[in-house]
Amino acid sequence: MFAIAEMTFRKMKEPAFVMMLILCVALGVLFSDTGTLSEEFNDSIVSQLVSSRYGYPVMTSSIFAIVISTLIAIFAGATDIPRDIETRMIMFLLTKPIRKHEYLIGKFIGILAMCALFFIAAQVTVFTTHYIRTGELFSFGVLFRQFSLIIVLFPLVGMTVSISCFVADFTAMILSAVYILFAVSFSIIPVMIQMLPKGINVVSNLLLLYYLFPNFVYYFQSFRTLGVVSVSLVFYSIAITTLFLCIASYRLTNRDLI
Amino acid sequence: MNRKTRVVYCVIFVTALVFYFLSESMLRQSAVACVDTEDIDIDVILNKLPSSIKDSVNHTLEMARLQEALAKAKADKERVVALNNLAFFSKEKKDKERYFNEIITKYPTNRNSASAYVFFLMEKDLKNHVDIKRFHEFISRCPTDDQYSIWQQGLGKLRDVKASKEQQLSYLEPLLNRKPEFYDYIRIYEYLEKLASSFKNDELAEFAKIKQDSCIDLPSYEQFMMEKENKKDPKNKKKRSTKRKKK
Repeated sequence: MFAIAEMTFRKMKEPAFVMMLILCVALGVLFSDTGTLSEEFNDSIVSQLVSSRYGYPVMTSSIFAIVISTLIAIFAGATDIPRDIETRMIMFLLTKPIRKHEYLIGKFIGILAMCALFFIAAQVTVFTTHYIRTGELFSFGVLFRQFSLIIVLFPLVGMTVSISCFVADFTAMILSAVYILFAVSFSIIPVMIQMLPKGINVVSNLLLLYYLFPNFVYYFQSFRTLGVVSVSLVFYSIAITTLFLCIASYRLTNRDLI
Repeated sequence: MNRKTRVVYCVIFVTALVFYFLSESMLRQSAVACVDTEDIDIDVILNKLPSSIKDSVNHTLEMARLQEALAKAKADKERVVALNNLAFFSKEKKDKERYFNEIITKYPTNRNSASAYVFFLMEKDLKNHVDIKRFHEFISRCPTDDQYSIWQQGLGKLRDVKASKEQQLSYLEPLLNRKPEFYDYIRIYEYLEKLASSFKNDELAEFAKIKQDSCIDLPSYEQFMMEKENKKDPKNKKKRSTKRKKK
């Protein structure tokens, strides 16, 4: 399993990924001057949601780091398994003493490591540039809050890997991108519904649809570093990742790989 | 895939699903706790929701407002109007039936109960079903001003339930024995003439035609209501006439 992960991670040596990493670092330098996320929103509801009422604020630069990691998750995560299937590499790998679900988890870990590398590179560049320009280093709490956003990558990579088990590489990329767009657009709806006065019961088929998409707004809300919310967020991420990987594993096990 | 593997997959999937719903619920509560909902106008929240949910919420809010209006209504007229509003705004037929039931049982002779009679007209499956005879009795008790619109509503209902031409004719026949007050009755008499002709009842068709001719010199319903209003409040008539002079 870890051999598969290592093999996947070694794709970072490819020129395309090296260039992406350099670009990521360059953009990190450009985004180092941005403020907190709540300052970017004029909308009072969203700015209150992401404000640092409890805990530490999320910086706008972290959004940029997540976007870069999402792009890697889509390009690498959605294409890796379909390419292995197309080139028959998967048949070669499965002749080794490795089960299909171990292969899947290995791929997941490898792609997650790639995305995490980009995320960390972007964040480190931002903070280092900020320190060089202003002489000010963010507090440990703020730094921890930014790096804790790495947990967003778990369901993202799980989703892309899962979709890639069903369709070809290009289709998987498009579906992954569309899925993320839908997830982002649905995110604010349940929070808004929860804010309606008591006694108003909203019954809509849309709410059923909402549960099919992870809610990324929860990762940016303000909360204390150690508390019920942070623990819930961890469980939320693990649960979504497990669901996606279960579906992917079931598909891979029952699918004809020839 | 063997049975044991399937069971393992199911257990893992269901456990993950349970954790997903539980943690999502916790996170949603905490997200709302971050926002000071007292300072936020409900319209701001509704504008962010999709139209289907917005319509549903607006409908609930409007129903709540109408229920409050009904609770505050004291006089019979106010209660009938409030019940009518609730019935019109309700989407479910059984809710409409419930409100109209109350109108027709408690306020059967009130002039504003017309909608309830129209609702139950020719509805044999409903408890308070109204036949044409009972509907005529109600119309005869109503003031002259209201009768035209009630006749029209009744005719509309008969067409909606696809009543037979004999039933429509028997519904409209009493109009031949009364004097029309407005020009607008001409349309009803035209329809009556058409029905009579379809049954080859020339005498009835001729009579309907005579009634049509008698409507020609009458004021329209709108003019009649304006004149009535002017008689009530002569100041309005003076204001209107001075405005015309200035022009």
